[in-house]
Amino acid sequence: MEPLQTGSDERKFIVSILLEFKGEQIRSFCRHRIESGRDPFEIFRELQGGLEEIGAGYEDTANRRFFNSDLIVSGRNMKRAIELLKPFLPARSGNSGTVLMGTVAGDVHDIGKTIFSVTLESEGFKVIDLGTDVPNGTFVGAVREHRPDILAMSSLLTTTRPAMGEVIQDLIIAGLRDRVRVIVGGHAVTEQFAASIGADAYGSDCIDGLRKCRQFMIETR
Amino acid sequence: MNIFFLYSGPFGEQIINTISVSRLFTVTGAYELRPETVFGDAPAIGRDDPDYFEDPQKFIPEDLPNSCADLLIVLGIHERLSELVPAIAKLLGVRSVLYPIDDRDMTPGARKTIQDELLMAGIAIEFPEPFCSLSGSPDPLIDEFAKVFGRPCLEIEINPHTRSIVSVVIRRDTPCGSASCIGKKLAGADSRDEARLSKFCYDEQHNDEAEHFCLAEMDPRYPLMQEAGDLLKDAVFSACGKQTTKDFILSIVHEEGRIAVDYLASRVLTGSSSGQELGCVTRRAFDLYLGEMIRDGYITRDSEDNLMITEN
Repeated sequence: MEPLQTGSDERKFIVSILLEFKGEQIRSFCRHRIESGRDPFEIFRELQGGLEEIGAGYEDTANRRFFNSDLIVSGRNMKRAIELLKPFLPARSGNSGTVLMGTVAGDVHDIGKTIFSVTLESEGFKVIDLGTDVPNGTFVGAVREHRPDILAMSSLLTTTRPAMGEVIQDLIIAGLRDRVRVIVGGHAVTEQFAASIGADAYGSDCIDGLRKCRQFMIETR
Repeated sequence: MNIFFLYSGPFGEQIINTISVSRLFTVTGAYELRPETVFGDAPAIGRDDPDYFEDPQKFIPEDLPNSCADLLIVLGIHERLSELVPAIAKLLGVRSVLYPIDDRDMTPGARKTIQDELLMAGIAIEFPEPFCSLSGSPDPLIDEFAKVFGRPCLEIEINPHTRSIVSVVIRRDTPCGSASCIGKKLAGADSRDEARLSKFCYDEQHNDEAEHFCLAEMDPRYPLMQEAGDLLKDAVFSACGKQTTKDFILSIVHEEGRIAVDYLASRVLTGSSSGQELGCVTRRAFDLYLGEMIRDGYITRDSEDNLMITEN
């Protein structure tokens, strides 16, 4: 594999390997980076940058550069990267806390959530992943059943993000809100939105989310 | 038949790969046509360039291979570049063009103009939407292609004692290759468990862990991916001798005698692909099936949009 250049060339290269539908290039890229001693989280961050570039090119309706199929294939390649990099993440024993997570109802996107899950697990958190397109009632029922320290909800679409606020309201009605800290994230979510629905925190990326989850646990103990 | 591909992105690559490895046709070339190869890195993609509208031929990339082909297949190119298609088709000397639309964002802006310009040059064009709804054509070249790629068609052998699926032969594969990919996994499945069989078809059709899977648009307002799932599930049910959506439609119309189209749709549309063995998920598939049943003379539609079984 050719050595990477910096700046926009590197970004273009990352985008091109994310869009290769057979997934050979992403595997080769991850192996090469790991063999060069690169931190797996740093590799995630590089790939995340490529995903964001594709997402921005898709959302720019006046000058659309990427399409639905590009989103699907890049998401699939990101999953391949996660599978490949997961064994190289530093495993920490102990119980840092329990995080219940899921993508809200109507939304089937799970790349960001999966990366966040892997990040938390590597830091000793126990993760209960409810998957994607999770109905509001399932979140509430799972909080009651598993008694997690933290509930993490993700949403990629602006059309589905209101469900996060609904879940928080349902937790209040069920008398469970005080038992759990709520963090929200995903492409459709902003700091302001998180505050407006009464979430305890907003995670801008997996590292920011991890930092806030650690802080929750310090405050709890 | 010789085929040339004009494509962009993974959607095009996946389909070219499926068609190439089948060795059913000769692929004489494939060219990735991207906005930057035509306009450089200009962000507006030629929108404000009057020359582009006046004479798109000037914008044909110089490195486009001068290959001879019978059929040009256009896959996922930027909609602004669609105006180059007639000029490229003429340059390649093709007799037919297939321009599938699996994503509204890839829909050519000037479809009618492209069609008229090609027809004037004696070149046939079709825009199947989605690609896997193609089942035939009045044009002989497109029809030849549609005999082996397009709307899925399978032959399934079932063990008469255990009712499990013994073997699957793909008579017509989906252009993305999902039908043959699913066909390989069907061996051993219990053909009696219709709910499970149905769920398997829908899940596998867009299973991004599979070797080939659907890359069509999945927006609930324009559910091409879900329509593709309906077509695949019905192809499997038909091959297993199970009641298809068409059979279900016919049984309801027969039972009701006379039924309004929208009411029929409300009974046929399942709204979910989870374990629903009767009916289909999308209105698009329902309309396609109903249109075919009216065309083939099974059902008659009156002036008030009511449906009834055609007499005789």
